[in-house]
Amino acid sequence: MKLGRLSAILEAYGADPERWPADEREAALALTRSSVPAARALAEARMLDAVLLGQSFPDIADEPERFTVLHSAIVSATRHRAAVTWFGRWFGFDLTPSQLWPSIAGLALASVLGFAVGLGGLLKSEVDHETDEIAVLSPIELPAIGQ
Amino acid sequence: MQSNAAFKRALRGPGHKLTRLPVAEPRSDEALMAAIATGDQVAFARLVERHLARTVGLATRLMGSRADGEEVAQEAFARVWSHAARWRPLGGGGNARFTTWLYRIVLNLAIDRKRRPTHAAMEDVDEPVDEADDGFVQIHRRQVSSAVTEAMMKLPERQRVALALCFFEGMSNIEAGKIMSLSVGAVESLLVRARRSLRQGLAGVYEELSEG
Repeated sequence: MKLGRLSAILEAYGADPERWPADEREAALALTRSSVPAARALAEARMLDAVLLGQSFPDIADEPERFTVLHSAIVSATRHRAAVTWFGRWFGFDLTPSQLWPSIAGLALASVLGFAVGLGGLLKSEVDHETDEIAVLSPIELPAIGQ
Repeated sequence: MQSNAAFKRALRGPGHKLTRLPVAEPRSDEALMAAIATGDQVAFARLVERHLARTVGLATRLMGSRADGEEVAQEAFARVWSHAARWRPLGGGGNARFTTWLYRIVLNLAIDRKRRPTHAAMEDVDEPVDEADDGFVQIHRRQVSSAVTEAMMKLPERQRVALALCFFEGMSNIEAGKIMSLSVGAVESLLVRARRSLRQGLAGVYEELSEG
């Protein structure tokens, strides 16, 4: 391995050989042991690693209570979601558009038919009222008594 | 309990006797996902338990905040639950391991959230430090941590993601490439640029450490 490639590896992955590409690790390590500039490049990379690793976030695995709370929140949310999913599946909400299309078409047809039947009934009902009104308002011609 | 019984039945297959106890062996992510696809909440709880810490860790690095990281992790697992039926294991029609898929979800959610305006969570505001004992050391550590977080957040999205995956989460460049849908060379190039930017951005901290 040449120094240029080692520098690129250090620039990309840092100083820890565990992070280096596995197929180049041995050759890179050998170069750091045999070359002073390579060893210097490794030390510089180590310095930047140390700075970056200074970014510390608490690990939730070290906080059992917090871990449990978050775990419970995630799992319990799915219980609610499971009920919603069941409800959704009942109405075909989790189907793809192509699978959903026949259901939508059926629903639309039923709606149109329902509307038509309802409108027909309403019109018929209005006609009947009109007939009734005419019947009420029209003078009734009764035959004269005693004729 | 029902899920264990169902799992045993599935392993037995029709007309076969169970000769060993499969529950004593840890179920693979793939087996858990198959169970989750049928609505098995016990399997889901097990999967979350297994991957929660690392998922929160990655999301926190990407978001630069623990509170946001936890929210992203919650959302990611919600997606795992709701999309479990569509997930296909590697070799079974799919092209990724479960963790690759999970981290890709985390990555997408984090990027999506990062683009939205947010307010700082109270939890992320530094607490006052007791200056007794190692108080000054604590202050210094926090300052370094804040400086690195700030510098990380200034990196272009893909550089930050590559660094979080490879450097902080210790993933191989191959795995990071799969998660980011990039070639190994492209990941390496992002890492080089990220570290160069950070070296410049953190020059003050870097020099302080060099002198110390």
